[in-house]
Amino acid sequence: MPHLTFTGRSLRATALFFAGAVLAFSASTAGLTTGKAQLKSAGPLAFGPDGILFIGDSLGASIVAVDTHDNKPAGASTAVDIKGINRKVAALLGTTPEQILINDVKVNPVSKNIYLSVSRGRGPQAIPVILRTDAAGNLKEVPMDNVSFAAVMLPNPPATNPGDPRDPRIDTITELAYVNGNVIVAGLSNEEFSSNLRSIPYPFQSVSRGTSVEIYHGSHGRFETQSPVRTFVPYKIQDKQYIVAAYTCTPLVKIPVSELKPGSKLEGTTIAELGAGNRPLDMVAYSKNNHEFILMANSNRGVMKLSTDHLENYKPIKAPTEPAGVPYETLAGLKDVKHLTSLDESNALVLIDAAGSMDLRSLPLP
Amino acid sequence: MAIAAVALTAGPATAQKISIQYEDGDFKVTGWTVPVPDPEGVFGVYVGTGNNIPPLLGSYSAGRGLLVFHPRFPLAPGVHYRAVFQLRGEDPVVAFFDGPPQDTTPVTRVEQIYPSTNVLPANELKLYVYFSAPMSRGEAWQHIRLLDEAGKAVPLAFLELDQELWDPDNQRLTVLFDPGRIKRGLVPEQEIGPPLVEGKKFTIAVDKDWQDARGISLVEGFEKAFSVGPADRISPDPKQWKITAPKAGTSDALVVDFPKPMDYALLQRLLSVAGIAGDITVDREETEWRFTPHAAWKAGSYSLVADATLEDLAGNHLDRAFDVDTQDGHLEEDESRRAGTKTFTVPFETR
Repeated sequence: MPHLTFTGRSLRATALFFAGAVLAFSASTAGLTTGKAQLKSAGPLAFGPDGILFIGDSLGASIVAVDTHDNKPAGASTAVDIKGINRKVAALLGTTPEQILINDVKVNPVSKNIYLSVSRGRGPQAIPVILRTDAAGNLKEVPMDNVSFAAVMLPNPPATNPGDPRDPRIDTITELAYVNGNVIVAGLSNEEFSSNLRSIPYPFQSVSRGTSVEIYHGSHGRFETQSPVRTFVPYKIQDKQYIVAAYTCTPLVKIPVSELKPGSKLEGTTIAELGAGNRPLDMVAYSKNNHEFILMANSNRGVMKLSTDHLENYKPIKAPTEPAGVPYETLAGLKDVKHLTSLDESNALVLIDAAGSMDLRSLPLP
Repeated sequence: MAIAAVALTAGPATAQKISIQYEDGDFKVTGWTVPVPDPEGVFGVYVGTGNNIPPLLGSYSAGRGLLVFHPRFPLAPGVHYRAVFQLRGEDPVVAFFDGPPQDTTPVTRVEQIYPSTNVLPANELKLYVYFSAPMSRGEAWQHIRLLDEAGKAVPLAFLELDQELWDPDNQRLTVLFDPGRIKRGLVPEQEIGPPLVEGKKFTIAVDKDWQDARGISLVEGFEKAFSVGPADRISPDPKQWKITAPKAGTSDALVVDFPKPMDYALLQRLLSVAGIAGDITVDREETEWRFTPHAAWKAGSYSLVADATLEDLAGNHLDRAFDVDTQDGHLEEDESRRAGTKTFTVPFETR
């Protein structure tokens, strides 16, 4: 099994070590090594502490952590309205908007700079690129050469047909988040149908086997399936850390992070059912006026605002009951949202694809 | 790479004879004499003719009348570029370049859609679409549809994941039917029912406008017609597989026949003969698995090993059905097949 462990120190850490200040370097950069971070693809992004950026590389079956050194605190909140970001990205990369894919958008919580995970090209030879823009739309490449980074390989079952040199199987990473010292990774195989939710301690050491998550459904309380998680958001309920996750088969569930242990099995607790054709894309959790909410971008139903007060009251469903999901409303006038992420305490950031022109826009949290 | 590297000065004549060339992957500006402390400030290459776009990423160097810009990425096929050199207080010098010529002849086809059988269970879970050459990501759900008997598209049939489940070569796309419509008891299943209906006929249609990795359409569309049988909610049982053992001393194939079709991709990966190298072929509409050893069989005992996650067409694993009815107790009848078993072993003898 291709487990990799990076034990090298960053140059900065090494220098401090020889100066005798062993404990002076940041814990978040421990275990980083300096060199070229190899990406085969750039998918979901997530920020950890101190400007550490996690990049999900499905083709490389790895999670790469890069120190962006982008850790200067932002000033006052600035509205974002960058029109035609796909045109700008394509121009910067020397190609046409048809030949780029924007795979994810995340905001550095410290600097408030916006990070884009991009493919230059749409075929198997597509080049992964990480870009960064400020609120004014000034785009720059986030270099992967000569950076402090660490990578961890995700376990991928080996091909068993010795006659076939290629392994067509991939776990596609669908969501990534850093939660309390762990990188949580949701993915979906392009072969067997199984749940694949992993929790990987950071700084990276080794890969846990991940957690197989099973749910009951409230209407009958009897049918169990392996349920891959499509997207999720870290969420605290009464000081306990959860993720709120959307399964590929639509229910929205809460899962306690403390239960994401190697080999364990869980029942996600259904908190809402969203109906046919619903495709939750991204979620943002926030508080406003002493109430809790989740904002959810959704392929079929626009952007939904879920009231999530008292999620502690949702118990695992063991017996047949009718679903009693959280109340939600759909925000008027917000269509074609492809990505939704947190910008600051009062704003989300959306990537809107309206007839081929993609705009990045801040959205006051409703 | 053949690049049309013709530099045309489009700006007004300047006192200096400035020329912009594209050679060996670099833009080179010659003919200027004043110092250029900031090459990035005087030279940029842009895509097309549009305004309000940033110049190409790349690295600059300048000295002794030569400014070199090395683009971060090679010029793209079929794309036009505009190179602009402008010294402070001078008119711009503009030159136009083309990326390498693009072959626009359609050559890519759909080769096959698995399962290859023409009768699918009503709870069919997935399809594999095989293409003859690499494809482009990002547009799958515009080009593959499920059609009913009247030729009308069935809405929301597939799990339209933005990530698109391709293999590393972009030659095989995995298409999942929406699991929320297949799994019993969920709102989508109750609201609009499963996409496939027993007793009806359907067609999977791929249209020719789907672009391959070069950005060129397919040679032609592709259709797979099928009828729908009953839902299958039973785990495949290795005890029911028919094993035809090869003769010792030969390199004949071990043949395993299944009572129902199995998942094409997983048969290549999750079924093997313990300790023996060989080649796998899948035949008879995925009801037959053949294993040809690299070395002749010896007389004796062998083991066929199946991973528990091997699936049939409805996503039923060997150790658990796709959606287990926890009140049924079916699986409790056979201890060896309870969930959590990792592999199943079926012994066979060669004589």
